[in-house]
Amino acid sequence: MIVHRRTLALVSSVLLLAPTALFAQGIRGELRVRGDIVGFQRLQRDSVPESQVSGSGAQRQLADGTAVTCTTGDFCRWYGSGDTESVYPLYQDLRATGWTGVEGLSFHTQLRARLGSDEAWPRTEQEVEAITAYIGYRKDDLWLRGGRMLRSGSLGYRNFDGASVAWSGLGPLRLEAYGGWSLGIGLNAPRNGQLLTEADEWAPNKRAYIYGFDGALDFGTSFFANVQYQREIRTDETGLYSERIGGSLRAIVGDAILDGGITYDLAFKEINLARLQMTSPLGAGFGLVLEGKHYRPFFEYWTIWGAFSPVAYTEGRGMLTWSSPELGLSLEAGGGYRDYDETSAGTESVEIKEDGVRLYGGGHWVNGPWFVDGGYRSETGFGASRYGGDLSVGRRIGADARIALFGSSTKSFGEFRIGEQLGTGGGIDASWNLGDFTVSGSAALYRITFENRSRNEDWTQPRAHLSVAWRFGSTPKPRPSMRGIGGY
Amino acid sequence: MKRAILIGTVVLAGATSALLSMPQQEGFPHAKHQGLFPSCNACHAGIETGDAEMFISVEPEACQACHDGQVAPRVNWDGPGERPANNLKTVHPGHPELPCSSCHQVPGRSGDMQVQAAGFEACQACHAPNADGHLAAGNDCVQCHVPLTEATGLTEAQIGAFPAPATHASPQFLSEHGAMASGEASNCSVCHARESCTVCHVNAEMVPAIMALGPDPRVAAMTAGVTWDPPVPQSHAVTEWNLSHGAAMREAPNSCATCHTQNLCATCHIDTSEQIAPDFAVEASASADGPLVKIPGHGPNFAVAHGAAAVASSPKCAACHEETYCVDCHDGSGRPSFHPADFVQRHSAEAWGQMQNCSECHSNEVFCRDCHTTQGFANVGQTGAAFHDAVPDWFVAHGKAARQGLDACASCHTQSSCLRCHSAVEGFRINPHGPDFDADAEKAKGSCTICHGSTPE
Repeated sequence: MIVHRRTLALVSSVLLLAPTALFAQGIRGELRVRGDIVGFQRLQRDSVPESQVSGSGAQRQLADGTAVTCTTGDFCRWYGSGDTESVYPLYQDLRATGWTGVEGLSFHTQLRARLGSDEAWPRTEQEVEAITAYIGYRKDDLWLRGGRMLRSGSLGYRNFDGASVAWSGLGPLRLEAYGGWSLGIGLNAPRNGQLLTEADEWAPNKRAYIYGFDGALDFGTSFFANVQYQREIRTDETGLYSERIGGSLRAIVGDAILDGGITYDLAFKEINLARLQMTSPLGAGFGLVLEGKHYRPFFEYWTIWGAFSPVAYTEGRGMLTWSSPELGLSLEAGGGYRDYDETSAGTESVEIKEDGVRLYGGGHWVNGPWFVDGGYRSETGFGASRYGGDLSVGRRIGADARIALFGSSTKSFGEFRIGEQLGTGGGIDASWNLGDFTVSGSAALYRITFENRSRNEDWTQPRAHLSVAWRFGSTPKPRPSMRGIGGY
Repeated sequence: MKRAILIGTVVLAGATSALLSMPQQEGFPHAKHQGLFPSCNACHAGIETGDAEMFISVEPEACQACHDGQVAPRVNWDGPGERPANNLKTVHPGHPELPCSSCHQVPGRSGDMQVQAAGFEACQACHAPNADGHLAAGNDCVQCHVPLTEATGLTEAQIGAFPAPATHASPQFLSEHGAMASGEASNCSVCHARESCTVCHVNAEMVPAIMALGPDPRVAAMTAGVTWDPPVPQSHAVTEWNLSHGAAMREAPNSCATCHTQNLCATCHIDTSEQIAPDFAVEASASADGPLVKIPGHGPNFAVAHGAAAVASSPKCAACHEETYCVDCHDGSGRPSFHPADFVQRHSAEAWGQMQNCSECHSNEVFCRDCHTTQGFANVGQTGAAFHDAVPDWFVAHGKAARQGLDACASCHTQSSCLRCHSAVEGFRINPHGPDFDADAEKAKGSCTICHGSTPE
């Protein structure tokens, strides 16, 4: 069982405060337990001596048509189906917000316990982690926070251990400074923690300080903008893990909403993301969304990936929407085209696509308690492509329950591999509010069929989940969704 | 609004009708007895004292003193019956100096006994001489009428037949009656009880003018089961109202509190650092289960492209979304909801296409690579490539794919995998840097040693 020392300290602090809050002004939150069943089938590499395979060159076929990659004088290798297995991850989330009875002083926490086995599903080794655990104090225009906190900034969504001070006492201007110890992105664990060091030989061996500044201009609904600077530096100060600056903008011009953002890598002096979207009503229920985007992935400086000169793509995207509240119907359709910058790599003899196209359309219809949600999406480009659709039909039962049938069919291809894969399946999904409890669950089967991969066996993948959530305090109960059903 | 006007109109129409239909004292022919009685007090002893029981104080025997069949024909009168129910005040003790004829004289006639029951014109003549009728705006109803809760003799039908003052027919009455009521609450009480207001006012218990009205079981019965479908105020129709209503609320909180409770606010406003609308009512039996509103600021594709809004307006987001709301998607192992069904099988195209930045939420090394390795997709040190079998000479071609989708590559391949060929100190020593690579990028030199053994000069 992994319990990080800092996590333990944070959790202890929160639990020490909790009784105070319970007997003071109040506490509210939710305890959720979720268990899943996910079937999977491993890929298994196999080989035969190269001398036993007819033909020449690297790409050959076995007698049954299986594509193999051969090394002269060595082996011909391929990937075929392995055994079918199942995994049972279990998650327990406790989130709570409490008021201490001292005006403006509150505490916030979200803890997660993961049970299962890392054998087949990521991060289900027994772990207890704190996603957030901080104390906040708000008085007039000042907001102080300390502990493990989340920040949404122009540079993304991060949590860290430390403190922040935000001040909004100068009209539309809001300023915030923060600092502390950096956590791995999406890990809720220190930079040099076990999770990362086990995953990568060159993972950071030192923790990192993080600090940043954030300024925002807020003119109500008509205009607001944000600029953020953030730096992460090793605690021995021998190197940086990241240093970036970002900005965001949102403005309403007439009926149109402009929404954009930019992030800039100060080490490689590259724009990672520049995006501008315009959303505008056209009348008669129609709306238009236009977006331009330039994207180059950012890699932290402890990796070598940034030095491999990743290139950006530039994309134009548009979407037309239509909705009729009277009919309870909304429809949307759109597409996008992206083009990658010159890579100066590879050979002309081997074609790697330099562009990609996205197409999508969908609709949502509500008629009384019934709802239908569906869509089609096509994504083609280099690396992998797919097309397929989803459909869910459901009914809300009273104000507190919902049941839905859902299905999807997706064809995946072009994964730099021979063969195509069709995944078709569906299931049932339901949720029910029972007083302070919400019980939800789903069960589904997906049939995976392969084309042109002789050694891959078609199989049926089971998926199911059951979740029980208990709300305490004044936590609002969720309204059963009438939208598409998500999941793994 | 229509229902409110309807209720008000019916109630007040009934009130006027009831007042106008008050039984007149036709039973006793005062004019015929002119000159027989020196004063009114002889038969109406209770007038001066305000004793309603003694309004007609004469006994039947007194009539027989004359109506004995000889002096005058016999009459059959058994004494005063029960007075008809009304909501009139006993006003006589307040007017001791006025002669009875001031209010009771039949217009156009003279003589002491040319009297009748006083109509509202009599009151109005002094108390509101410029008023345009009984129900005119500005009339002080309580000068003559008791509150409805005290007029216990009136039936529901009579209450329902009260006439409505002209003010109630105004299109602005719905929005203006609050101010009118707070200034003339006692006037309202003549026709209304507390239940008249609680039909619409969810915050009735917090409005002094409403609480000043007493409860009345008749009105409660009349309004039981009545629901109100309020019209959407014009203010709510502006663009982005859901985002801009805060200023309006701060300017006129009582206006909002009429229809909205804290529960509704709490549906969206879950900012845990301050209490939203503390003066609003709370529905004890209701959950914070607000309307299914389409937030104007959350346009199409907002679930994917909300980053800028989330960043630039984080205090506004925090008003409606707790941080845990973000966690549900951004770190949502406990409640996957962002991705469509069967995403585990179909996500490769999205990952390569980079519609979203997967690494914003998922650790490439710990989440993606861990799973890909377990499933057999990832390179775990084997030589002899076979996975990318659709691309001949993959080793030669992969550079282009890598530069276009390096994050996808890194979801299977470790840095050590690439260092076999791309290290400067061992292996094939193939330079991975592109033509525009900035070797002087000082800030990123921490990673140079991985390939070069030391930071290159």
